[in-house]
Amino acid sequence: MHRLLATTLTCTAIVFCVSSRPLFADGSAWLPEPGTGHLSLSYVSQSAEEFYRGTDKRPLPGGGQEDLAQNTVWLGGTYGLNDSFALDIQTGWAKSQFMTGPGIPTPSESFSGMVDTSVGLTWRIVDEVVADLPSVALRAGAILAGDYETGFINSLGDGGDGYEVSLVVGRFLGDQVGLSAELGVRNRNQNIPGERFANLSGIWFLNDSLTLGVEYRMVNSTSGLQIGGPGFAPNRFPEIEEDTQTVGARLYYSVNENVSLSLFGASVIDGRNAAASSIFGAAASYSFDFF
Amino acid sequence: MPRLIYVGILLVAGIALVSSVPASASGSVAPGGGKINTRAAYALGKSITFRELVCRRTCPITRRELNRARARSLKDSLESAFDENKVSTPDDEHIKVLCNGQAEQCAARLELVNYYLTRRYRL
Repeated sequence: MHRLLATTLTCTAIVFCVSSRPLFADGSAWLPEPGTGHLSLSYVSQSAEEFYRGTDKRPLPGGGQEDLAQNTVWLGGTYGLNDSFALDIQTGWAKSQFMTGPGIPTPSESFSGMVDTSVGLTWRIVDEVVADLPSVALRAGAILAGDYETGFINSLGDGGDGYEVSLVVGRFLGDQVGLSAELGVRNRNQNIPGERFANLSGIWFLNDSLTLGVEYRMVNSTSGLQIGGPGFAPNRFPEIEEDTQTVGARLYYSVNENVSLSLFGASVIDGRNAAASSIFGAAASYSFDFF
Repeated sequence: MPRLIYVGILLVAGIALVSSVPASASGSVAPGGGKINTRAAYALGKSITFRELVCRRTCPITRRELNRARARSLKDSLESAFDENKVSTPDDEHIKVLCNGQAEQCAARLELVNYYLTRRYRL
């Protein structure tokens, strides 16, 4: 029974898992308790000195001083509607920067504005707490484009409305380790190529206050233009075939029953028509209870 | 005492998860959730409920029987389990399965199941 208790303790402790690539929230098979949820405020800084032209990694033209950068303040939240359904929302504000080399014109070195907003509903089909199976959930989300300009390398996003659907599986192995996997598809308008994505994450409860997380994320466009290829022009940046593979780590610190802090870092390890970004950030989260 | 055990469980629970990352040529990297949830009592109560009290074959109550009215009845039994002057309810016998051979944990287990039923069915 002790093992069961420990497992359920840690299981409940994980409420919302993962997030993903630009602008899009991740699904989790671990839902908040009904009537409860959390709000999170995050700051994320991403910068790149190299990019993938096709699959060929090469320097950006600015000479290596954070040529392409974007800083974003994110606001997110999750709320448990009942035992099986939870709502999530994520939105934010960002500012980008793009430095070119001597003699290379750029329409604008900086953009700022609201980024895309995602609103999702998760349905937990299987709860590992009561079944001898991993937790399984389906998430469907709407994507609403932000108010930024598109068609530039440093645009804040691709500027399309759309949807994403994913299947999420989560399982705790023993008392200290949890694993989560998500597979999904994403489609948006404005001729933005459809995407398939996968998120894998693991957490390790070091003690009552500290938790270590690691993750791997993959986004694969199913079609699209190649940078510098036939049909490509800068104003068609949203239409490029953009793939990324990213690995990252995060350290969580539980301040008290309601507040947690986290620091994280990640790096794009492979890609196509994408920036080879390094990513750092910090987040604060607050749990609430409306019951 | 049950209250102390319950609070202790909540305090032990802490921690959160989340993640973040990826980047692309355009767009912001999302931060991920990151939060603490110390409300382990719900999952614990749910686990005990559906592994020992309500299940298909070996439990005193089947899953089909558990609805809001039955949850109310169980809640009444759970809350009066240690009251010598209580009025008996139909589920008094059923909840005894939660205390078989584990007297020292009985009160905490009853409270966890009560917590789950109260939240789940908004009693």
